[in-house]
Amino acid sequence: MSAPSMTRTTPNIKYWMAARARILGPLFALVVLLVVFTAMAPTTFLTGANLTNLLTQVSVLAVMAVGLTMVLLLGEIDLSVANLSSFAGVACATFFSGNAFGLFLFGEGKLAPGIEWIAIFGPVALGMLMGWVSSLMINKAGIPSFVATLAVFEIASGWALYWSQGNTLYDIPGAVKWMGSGSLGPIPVIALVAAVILLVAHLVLQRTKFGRSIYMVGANRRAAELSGVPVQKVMRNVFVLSGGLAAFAGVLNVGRLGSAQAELGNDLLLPAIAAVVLGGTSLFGGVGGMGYTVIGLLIYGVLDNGLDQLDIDIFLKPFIRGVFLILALLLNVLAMRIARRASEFSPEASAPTPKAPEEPPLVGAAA
Amino acid sequence: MPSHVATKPNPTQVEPASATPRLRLRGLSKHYGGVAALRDVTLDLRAGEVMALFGHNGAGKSTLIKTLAGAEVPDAGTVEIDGEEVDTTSPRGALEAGIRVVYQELSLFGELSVAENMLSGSRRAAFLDRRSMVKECREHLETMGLNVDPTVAVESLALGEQQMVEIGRALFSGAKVVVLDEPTSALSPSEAKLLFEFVSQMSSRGITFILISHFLDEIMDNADRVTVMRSGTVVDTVPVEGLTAAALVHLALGEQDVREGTFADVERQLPTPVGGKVVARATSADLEGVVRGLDLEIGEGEIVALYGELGCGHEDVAEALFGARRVVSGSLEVLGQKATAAGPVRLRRAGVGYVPADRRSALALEQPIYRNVTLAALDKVCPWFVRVANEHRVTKNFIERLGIRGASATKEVGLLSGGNQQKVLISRWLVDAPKLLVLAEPTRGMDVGAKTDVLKAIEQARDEGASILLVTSEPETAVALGDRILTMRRGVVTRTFQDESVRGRDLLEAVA
Repeated sequence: MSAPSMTRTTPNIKYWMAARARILGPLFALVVLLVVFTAMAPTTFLTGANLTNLLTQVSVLAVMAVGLTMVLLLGEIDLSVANLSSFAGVACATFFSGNAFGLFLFGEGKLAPGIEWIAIFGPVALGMLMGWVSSLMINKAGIPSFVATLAVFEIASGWALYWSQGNTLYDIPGAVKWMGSGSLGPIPVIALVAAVILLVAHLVLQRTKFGRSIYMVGANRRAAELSGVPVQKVMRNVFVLSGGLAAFAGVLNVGRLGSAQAELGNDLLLPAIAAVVLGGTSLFGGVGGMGYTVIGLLIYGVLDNGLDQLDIDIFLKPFIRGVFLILALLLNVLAMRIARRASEFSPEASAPTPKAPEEPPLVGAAA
Repeated sequence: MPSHVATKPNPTQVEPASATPRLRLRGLSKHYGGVAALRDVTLDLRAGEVMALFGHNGAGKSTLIKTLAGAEVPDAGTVEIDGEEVDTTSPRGALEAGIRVVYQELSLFGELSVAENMLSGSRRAAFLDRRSMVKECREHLETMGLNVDPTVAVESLALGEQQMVEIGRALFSGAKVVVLDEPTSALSPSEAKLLFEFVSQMSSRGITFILISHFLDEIMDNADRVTVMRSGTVVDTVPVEGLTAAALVHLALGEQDVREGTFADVERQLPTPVGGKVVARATSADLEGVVRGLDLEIGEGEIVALYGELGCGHEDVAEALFGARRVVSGSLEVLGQKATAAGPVRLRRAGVGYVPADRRSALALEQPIYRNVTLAALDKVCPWFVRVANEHRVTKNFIERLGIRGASATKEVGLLSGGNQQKVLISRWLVDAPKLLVLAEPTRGMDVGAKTDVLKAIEQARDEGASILLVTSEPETAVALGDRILTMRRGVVTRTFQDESVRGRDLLEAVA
């Protein structure tokens, strides 16, 4: 039995591409979309006002996608994020207004009107609480996250209706309005907030042990356990973060729109998942990151915004968006294939040939 | 095809029917690359015979079965059933020829009923009529003397019964030759007894069995003859009467080392135990599974090797030391803690490192090498924030020291060869040597070069302060590293070698 071949490492363009195919694919899709829309709507798409608009549109989604990225890196899913954001918006307005809110079987609660910090952090805390509930179901009862967060999804939407009673609420704190619709010079504040959160999340993922453990738990949960990584704690923290970030996204959303409704952000779930996946973060965990999610968000944002600039039937928009999503996802798959093929050229990749005996004479596994 | 096979008289020649063997292998050969896994294997098996197949790691037993099952295509040679050459170049061909292999990992549908499983190979109908299936199955079960309810789910049966169902399924679908690949490794003695009663009943009806077994008593009690293989060749076929373990091992090993790498006769003087602090101690411990009455002590700085054939329970001991397998009775203390009560997370924190036999379960294959290396001791590499540069430095160091050839720190682990993956895994525990390192089959399936590297790495871990339990089914690995060597057979420690001279051959005899 011969030793593995010992060809020397020769860094070449293929190898370089292979290591980065996951990001190059989505990047390519983004560039193509930018070129297409610039060409098709030259006067309206690539203008300062429209780009500002695009960033504003995508920011709420971005905050939600940050938590979702971490959840996906774990190889789990959080379906509750969009409904949690709606609920958080309602909670924000409710707390700020000083109106009574039901406490289920325990009568009613009421806060003094106009306390901004409670109106901001209260909903976030409730979002974290809901994330914790999801993690309890997943960790302690072994319920798959798909189902566990579906339950929280229902609870959040019910809770939002319960507190809003179906009304539109207009008592939004000034700070929230500023964060949602203010601007610093030409740049919308909401985009800055989203950018800061993305950056912090990026640093957490890349530079902290918590971040690393998210990757490793997602890549191989058993390996992480065997190495002493506190897997359940990591899961809990990620779901708590996801809940909190989703709630904060909801607060930003009411700041952007100036009012809260029980179903305000409900239709953001699929865009958020799509954005994360479009960026190249794997649904199976362990691969991806905030850089990917930024690109995915931009792809989604450009697609959504760009289609608005074109002279097409407005009712056809989701259809076309779907077609583009398929194309972008296929591009990702293609990039992965190229990466795989290129990596086969790299040294040492050709380790055991598929036909190698499982039982090489004298030194193999037991017969 | 070699000419001497082609020129033999064809199967239509006139021969007394009784003399035609049920199964005849002629000149079967198989090479992998330049390595011969099977060399001119010729065997005759009579109808109703139980033939044992014995041989050590790499003797060619697996390749032979795979060839029979159509999972591997031989380079040369023919297979005949009842005097007619059959096509075993595909699984389908082997099935049609009436050859069935019952592997250790059963291929049953656990959630389906016995009847559904039994008939799955023989029914060809678009719609399933449950009632007639159950009726048909019950008749079959009765004729086979198999006492199970056809309507229950297979997974609710005991393992031995499941095996019988699988054999039953093979017989239903017209099997003439059934290969049993170490059928009793997971069975309790009483289950094994039932299974062999069933086998002997079936063989008395003309079914031919090939029984692959490591165990002398099993072979003597249940087989008519035993064929011994070594290095891909059939050494001899002998009747089982009067066979001894030494004779069997002698046949399987041959007079001398056939080539470098067997080490069966390499002798090593084990050191005199110094009797220091005890890191782990088992006292008449029964483990979940087959291990019974385990007494084991691992001293500080000591390498204890636990040798046994696959499935003898030695891997269970490794799991138990890491708290991942329950101690049913007796006691198992690891670093001052009750292993079962503490569990893997607390034992890991107390300083136990564990390299499981299935290395893929311990590696994140899609992640780069450096992340896998630093996984267990990231704190040590990066005291505060994660700094990839530090990780790279540490990883490069190990890549050089352990000879992980042609790898960079950022390479995905999944792209490495098995041996190099193992080195990555051991590196993980060299970053910050644990107090007790438990290694299960660290050198399985490796070439000699990689094996040497891994053995060196293990010694290094010991030099850095780890006490080591080395669980292996390779005698040469145990001899090469163990300060003390325990041999295990069917869950029971049969011998402890210490302060004496030992050869791989001695270990083989101790477990035969």
